[in-house]
Amino acid sequence: MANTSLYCTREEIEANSPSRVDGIDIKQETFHRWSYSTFLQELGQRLKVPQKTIATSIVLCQRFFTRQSLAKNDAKTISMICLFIAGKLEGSPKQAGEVIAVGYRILHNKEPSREAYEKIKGNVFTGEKLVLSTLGFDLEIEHPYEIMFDWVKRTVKVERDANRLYQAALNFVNDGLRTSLCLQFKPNQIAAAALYLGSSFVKVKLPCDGEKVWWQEFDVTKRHLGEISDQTLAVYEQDFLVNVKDGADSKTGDGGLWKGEVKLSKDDESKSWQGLEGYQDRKGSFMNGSDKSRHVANILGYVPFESL
Amino acid sequence: MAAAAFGQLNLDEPPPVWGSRSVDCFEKLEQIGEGTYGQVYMAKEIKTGEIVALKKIRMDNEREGFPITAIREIKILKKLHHENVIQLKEIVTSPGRDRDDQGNPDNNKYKGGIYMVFEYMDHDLTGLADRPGLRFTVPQIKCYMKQLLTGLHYCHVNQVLHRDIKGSNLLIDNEGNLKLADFGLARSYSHDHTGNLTNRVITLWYRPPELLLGATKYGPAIDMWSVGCIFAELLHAKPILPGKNEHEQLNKIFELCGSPDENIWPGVSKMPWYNNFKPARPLKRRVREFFRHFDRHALELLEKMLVLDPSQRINAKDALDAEYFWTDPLPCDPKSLPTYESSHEFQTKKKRQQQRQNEEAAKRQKVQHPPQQHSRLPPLQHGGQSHAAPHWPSGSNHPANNAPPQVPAGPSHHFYGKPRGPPGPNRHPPSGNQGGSYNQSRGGYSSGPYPPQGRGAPYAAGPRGHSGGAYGVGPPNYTQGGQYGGSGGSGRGQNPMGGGSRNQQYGWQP
Repeated sequence: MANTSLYCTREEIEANSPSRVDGIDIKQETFHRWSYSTFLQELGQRLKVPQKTIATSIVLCQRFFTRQSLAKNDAKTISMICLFIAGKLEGSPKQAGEVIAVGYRILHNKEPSREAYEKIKGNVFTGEKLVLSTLGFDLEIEHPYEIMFDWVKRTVKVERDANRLYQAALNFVNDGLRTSLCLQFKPNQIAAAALYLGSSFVKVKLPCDGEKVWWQEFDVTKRHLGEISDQTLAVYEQDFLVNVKDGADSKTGDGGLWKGEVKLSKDDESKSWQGLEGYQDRKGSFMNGSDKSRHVANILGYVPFESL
Repeated sequence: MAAAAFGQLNLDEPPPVWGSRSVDCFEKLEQIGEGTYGQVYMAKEIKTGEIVALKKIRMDNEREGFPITAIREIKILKKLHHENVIQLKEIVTSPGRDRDDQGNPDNNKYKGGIYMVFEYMDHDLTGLADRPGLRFTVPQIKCYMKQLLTGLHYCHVNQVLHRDIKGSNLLIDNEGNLKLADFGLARSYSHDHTGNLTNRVITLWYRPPELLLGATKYGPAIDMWSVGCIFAELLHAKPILPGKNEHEQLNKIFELCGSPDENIWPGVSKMPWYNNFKPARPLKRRVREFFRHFDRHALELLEKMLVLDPSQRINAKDALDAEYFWTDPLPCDPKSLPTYESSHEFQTKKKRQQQRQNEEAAKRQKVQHPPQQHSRLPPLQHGGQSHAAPHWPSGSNHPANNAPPQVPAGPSHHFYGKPRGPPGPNRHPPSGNQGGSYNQSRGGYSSGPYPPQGRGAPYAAGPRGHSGGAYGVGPPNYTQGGQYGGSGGSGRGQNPMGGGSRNQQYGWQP
């Protein structure tokens, strides 16, 4: 089991971040978190590593920045290092050279020069030790995937419903990786919330066994379930995301959530991650936009927790 | 302050408090081992005076940074805490060079090496058993076996397969405690694990028939076969199945345990390499006959361990309940065992090894094919001299029904990395793998063929053939989705190890 001390509250994360000491505010850090997570998702997919490896890389990176400052460590290099390490951890290793080449292409939309490549490579190998040391070599990282899958398989008897529910929950988990949820909650708790959101979305009722509410076995409280759900949904309404196309072609039941276009706003911070711009519309995993939360909630049929 | 510039890393400050300490906290006393991955030292923690073993993770030869085997070992050992499993106390870093090339002070705290700090153990089981004139008593053997099974049971309960159980990886201290060590080949598994695993693990003499027949789905039973081999070896006072290559290994197993058929091992005829290795005529099981001098309860337990069909092989827990451990003479208290002089006389060993090398060289010049060895050492299957060449013909993307290539087993050095050399009357099975567990510089990375993970369209295709999922339009590698949602086999596009899997060094396989 993961060490409980690896988790902290949202307040702790926001107040005690080493980046804050260096004058990087919460908003900027949230943006960076979103950026490197999105970058890692793309990088991992292009490298064709399993989702579990991608998720591990994102958790490693997030944990790193709870202990090190964004002002002193370039998040792009750290991200590439985290994917490099995650590959080894999860049995899907990729050569550093490949990680760098693909990563550079995403960020800069061109091939690195020989010189740039060698420099990054040196940084990756040195930085690997920095990351491992900073993390205290705590490398066992668990994810919600298997927990959700086992539970759905056991609990939802109609196969079609089980698949739809699992797919929807999976998407919420993956999108939730762009938030600090993995620093606050254990995989089983995140699994429960994703199943809750998923069930609202695909309209599959979760079984209630008489007195027992279904989430009890996930060792999660109702309050936490609400918090995780809210924070997950918030990823779709980040204000550095603008101009989403209508999410109307979203269909329920196919495991698809939304299609939309996302563009980064043009403030200075986002420019440093401008390489990310190019692919979001292709990916289209983000619904977003200013004050879309109600909209999202409507699509979901999301019932605020208080009224459950 | 703005965010860091591209490539900027915080290398000047020591790791934050929760990071690792410096190796300067220890005083190196003596080198006790030398492996290709680096040196092993006996050392004293300055503050406490505690004696530890420092295993250096050498990285100068690594083309791909921190060795994957070390990463795995650390990950697994960090979660295992048991009196019969070696304790990884911490990881420490060495400060590295003080000056850079221009003679300027180099503040980079991450240039130096990384060491794993283990509790110090005096011996390993093979070394101890091999001492001239030393014979284990029955209560002593029972005591070691019980500890071995207890430690292994703990690993299996925690869903860890050791995958390299053998005498030199069982460390023993002077209080009689036995601990499992060297988790460089270990991996986590789950009961419903759907992915395939490499069958190129476990030192040949201790490798179970299912791996030799090409199984890629297996479980804790593989370790139990190795335990059976060690058990018999302790009682018999020499290795029981010293095969020289995989084919001979299987033959030896069949000669002892009988040849498998569908009756005693349902499904065996569908094993990938069954047809290549099927004995010409059926052989009878002769375990009882071979080991008729063993006592009744020992034989009974051994029979249950050396079962060909892994699904019928006894597990660690049931083995601990065997009559053998509960009848007179009972296993003794570890503390009552005699103490022996340390087995890590590195210098002595080095000299002895040098002598062996000379003898070997002389021998090789005389005969092309050396006669039957009487050593207790699994042979190097490459003749031990093909170090520069890659193991595999490149691109031999052969299907699983090809004959298994003559590939060395995994690393098989003593845990503390005793010197290894060419085949000879060395007790320590050699690393068939060039390099050993901490050196994969010639392996997977350089040849490049990684397990293609999640190829195909697992996610986009989805369990019901839907596409257009949230990520469906992107590169379709949400393998989790496919794998777990998979009702129609459309999950993973293919075996995660891919066809090229045997083209790699074990270290890179799942």
